[in-house]
Amino acid sequence: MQSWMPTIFIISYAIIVISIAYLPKVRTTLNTEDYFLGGRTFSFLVLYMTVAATAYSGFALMGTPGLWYSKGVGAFFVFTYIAFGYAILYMVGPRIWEVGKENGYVTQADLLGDRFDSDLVRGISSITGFVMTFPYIAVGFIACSYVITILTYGVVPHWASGLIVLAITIVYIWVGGIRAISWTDVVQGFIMLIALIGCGFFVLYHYYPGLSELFEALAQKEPEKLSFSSGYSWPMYTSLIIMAVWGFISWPHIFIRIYAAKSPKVIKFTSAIGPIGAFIAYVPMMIAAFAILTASTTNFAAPDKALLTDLGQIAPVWFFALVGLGALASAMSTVDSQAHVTGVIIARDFFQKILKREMTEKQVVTICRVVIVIGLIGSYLIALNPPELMWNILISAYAGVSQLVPLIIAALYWKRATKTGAAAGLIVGLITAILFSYVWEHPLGIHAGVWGMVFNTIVLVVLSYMTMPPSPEKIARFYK
Amino acid sequence: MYKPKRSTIVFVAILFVLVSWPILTIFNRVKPIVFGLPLCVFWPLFIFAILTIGMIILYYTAEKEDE
Repeated sequence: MQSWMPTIFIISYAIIVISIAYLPKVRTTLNTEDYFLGGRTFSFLVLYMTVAATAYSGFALMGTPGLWYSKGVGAFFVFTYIAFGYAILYMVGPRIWEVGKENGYVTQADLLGDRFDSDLVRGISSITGFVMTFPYIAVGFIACSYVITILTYGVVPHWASGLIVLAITIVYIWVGGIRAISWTDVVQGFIMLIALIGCGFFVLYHYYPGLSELFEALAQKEPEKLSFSSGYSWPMYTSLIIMAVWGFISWPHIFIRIYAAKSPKVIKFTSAIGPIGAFIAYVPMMIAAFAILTASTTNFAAPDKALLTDLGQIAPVWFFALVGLGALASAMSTVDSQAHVTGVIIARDFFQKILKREMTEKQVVTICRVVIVIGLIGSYLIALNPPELMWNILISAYAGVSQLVPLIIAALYWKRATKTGAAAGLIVGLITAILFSYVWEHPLGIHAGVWGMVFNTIVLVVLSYMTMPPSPEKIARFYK
Repeated sequence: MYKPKRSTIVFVAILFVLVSWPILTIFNRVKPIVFGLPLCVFWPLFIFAILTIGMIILYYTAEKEDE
């Protein structure tokens, strides 16, 4: 059964997202503040949707059901860290916004480098953010091209699907910068929302008369899926949450979005209602995954693909196309945000701050655009044939970015923290995270990232007390 | 300088403890069934709902105080 409908959906989608970038309100001026941060004017709707679309997308319609499918309720760790990640954003976000606005920060490394007066800290934090972000773009590409290939019934091969995604994203990021990304996130977010909710209901009622019957069947057929400790051991479950809940605020793209907010009030409201999005992203996928797990007769090779594959067999074509589009939108909204942030990191941290090049605003924006295009093309090529290293970085990504957490908290609230303490803490944390990921894997079953954060914090505190406190002028400027 | 309110920190910390080890082990079971959901599914969802409602209330009370 082949239909043109999914292809028409994809084409209309492409036209819509590209035209958004050309809207006069969205189209960027060649000014860094505008291209990087949307002129710090993001309202609630835009901030909410762009944070949510970027956070859930990676694999909202593919990885998430795959996780429920294979780990059962152990997959609640993701829901937990997102929900509490928002709570931390609520508490810390306004302070980040405040120092960002007062000192004209654009990136995360701006804050850390300036507070600790250190190009070393700036450099390492910037590289950490950059390296950890990259595999996410490549994975987004893999997801996007996979969806297009499915929706066109295999007529468009993987490499060509990826190329289509590449072309669409390059156009709208080039034209509109973060404003285009965030406004397309609004549209992509809504498509995703409809797809997620629709999908949950559809799959549930296709297989079962109601929720209680589904869970009865699950308890009978797959009782181990109803235990938190069958997916992960308790130390692992707990440490994954602790690491990721803090890691949630330490992603470079989240920082950019905090700076881009119009006011602290917008950040607080976004975070307060943030978990509602998590309910929409996780509950329908849990239901769908459990329904497929217990009732579908198909044997799936890859759990990540279970949902879409199953849907292709049981759903009417328009619904299948809609959900596919939701998956495409969700993956693309991550690719664009992450690609944008890598461009900003290179243009701002590397060219402007570390090399201290004198450049016009226009030149900085051009560098950013060029890096984004190179980054996207590079990620596309990597996605065609992903090396082992990429998966490793992807798995360790949270362990890496969470090493920035002790520094961020110290920079924001602790006057006594010093340059030496921060630099040494970060280096020790990163080395610990790497060693405990690959050499002595997760000692005591606790995730390497948490070990890194612990050693990082100890070194930061001890060395800060052993070195000279920061100058009174710095403290006066930073902690008003 | 923006600082989180003590009440917000305490509220979030208590809820976090309720969905973490060791408290979570108490709820790591199927029975009783609550609203058609096994206890281990109902409990975290219930806590996240409380978190969301609580944060919205905290937001509005804090905004009122600021005015």
